[in-house]
Amino acid sequence: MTRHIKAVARHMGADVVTVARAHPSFLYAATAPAKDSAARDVYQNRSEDVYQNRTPEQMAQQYPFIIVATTAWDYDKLQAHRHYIGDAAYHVSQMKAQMILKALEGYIKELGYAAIRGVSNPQAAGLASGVGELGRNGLLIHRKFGARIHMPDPIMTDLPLVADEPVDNGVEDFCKICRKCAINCPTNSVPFGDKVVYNGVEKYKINWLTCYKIRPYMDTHWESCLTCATVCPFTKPNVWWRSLTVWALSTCPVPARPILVRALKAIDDRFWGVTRQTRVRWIGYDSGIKPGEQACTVAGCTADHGAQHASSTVGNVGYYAPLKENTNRFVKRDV
Amino acid sequence: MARRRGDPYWDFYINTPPADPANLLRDALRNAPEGNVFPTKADLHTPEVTTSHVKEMARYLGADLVGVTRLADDDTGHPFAIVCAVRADDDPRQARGIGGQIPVQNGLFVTFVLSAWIRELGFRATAAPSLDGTRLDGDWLAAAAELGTLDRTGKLLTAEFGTRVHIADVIRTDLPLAPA
Repeated sequence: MTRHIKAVARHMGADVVTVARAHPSFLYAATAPAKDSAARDVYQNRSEDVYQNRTPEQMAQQYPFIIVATTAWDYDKLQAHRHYIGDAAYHVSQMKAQMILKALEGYIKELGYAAIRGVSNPQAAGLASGVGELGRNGLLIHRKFGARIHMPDPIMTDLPLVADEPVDNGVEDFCKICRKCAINCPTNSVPFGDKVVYNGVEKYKINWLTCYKIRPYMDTHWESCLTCATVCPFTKPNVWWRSLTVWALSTCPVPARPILVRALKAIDDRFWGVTRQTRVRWIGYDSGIKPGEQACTVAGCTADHGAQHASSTVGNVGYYAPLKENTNRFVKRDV
Repeated sequence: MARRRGDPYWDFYINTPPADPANLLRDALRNAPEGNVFPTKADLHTPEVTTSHVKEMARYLGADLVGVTRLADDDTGHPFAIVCAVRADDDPRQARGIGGQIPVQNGLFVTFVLSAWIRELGFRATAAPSLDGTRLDGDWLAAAAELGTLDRTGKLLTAEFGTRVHIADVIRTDLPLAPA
């Protein structure tokens, strides 16, 4: 049945599908807020109804498996992080992942079993089922796709399945040394320091408040930052040299890993740069005007217009939204 | 198909219609309301370049084949039709299970997002049936858009997938395009 469910999810279009053994600590808190509380939103109502006065322990016993099915976002478009093209890569695959999970939920119900959404933390279930390891940037890092995978709301079910095991891809050892996401974060929300224990979980604790605070200021230019996912050395096209590197890293004995990681990081810095910014053009959208470059505002135009289209014409013209040069170090600039 | 070998549930997944139609995502997607047209039309390049953009967007959203054709007698003032097709190993007209309807679901995703994008550019686009409720003949328009040819039974026959293809709802639009 596990093979069947995985084949079904892949037929629906999922890139990654794993099964986690449910644990009470994965479940969201189900304390009912006060009737007039602002926190009493759709999700809380939902999980409160689903729990039906059962404790998380009882829930994990009754529905012992969590199906994590998800999609990866497009590598080439992701290179335009902090731009609408990167947003397109992110949000299109996000919509697909939601569609797949909704269809899979319907199918499990048709099989006669429960499929409960909105109760389990996707990252915890993903970590336990071996989607990937938690990286410094607070994202799950997958063996094939790196940090460019979604973590949509997983399905908790009583379907009899076989749970997957957590994995070791060498991310733990890599993140100790590599601080690319921390260096590149526009708000300095990713820590440079060691792991901390937060809510009973040992992890790199990102500052989610500053991470999210940049959005209202930038929402005329982009929606999702994606920088820490893009610059991660594990986020590469899924090709043979990448598979070879991850295989070498994950089979390397743990004491020898720091040496290998330093070598790999040097290669990554050499070929992809410490701060990576690639100009992406896609169906007339252009990810930004770099110093010395000119852009036309007509979609798809590749003619060289020279200096006549100065940067004064680039802005809110047509459907372009160029990356501003000084969006880096947003927090410091604001002081 | 390798995936089907030794999988006793696969036939149920593909062919058995769901007992509760609400478990089928297809109808929810089909009934999703279409949004408004943006009041300002975007700057566009030539119809040929716009067509290539539309095709690339459709392929990115998951369409395997996409073509553009002119609508001869459309009463609602949409001069062009965008025809998207997705690969379907099992014909959704026969395979009524959740698995058999997955190509329909994927096709609806493509047409919904693509027509929404065109509306956001300031041009009219709809994947809904015509005003009198009749759906356009997808096979015929797909052949006109040069996705393939019609076979003896009137089904679309493509070079890439043969007849194993599902034609998504036709998008009618007034975006200036260059038909095939």
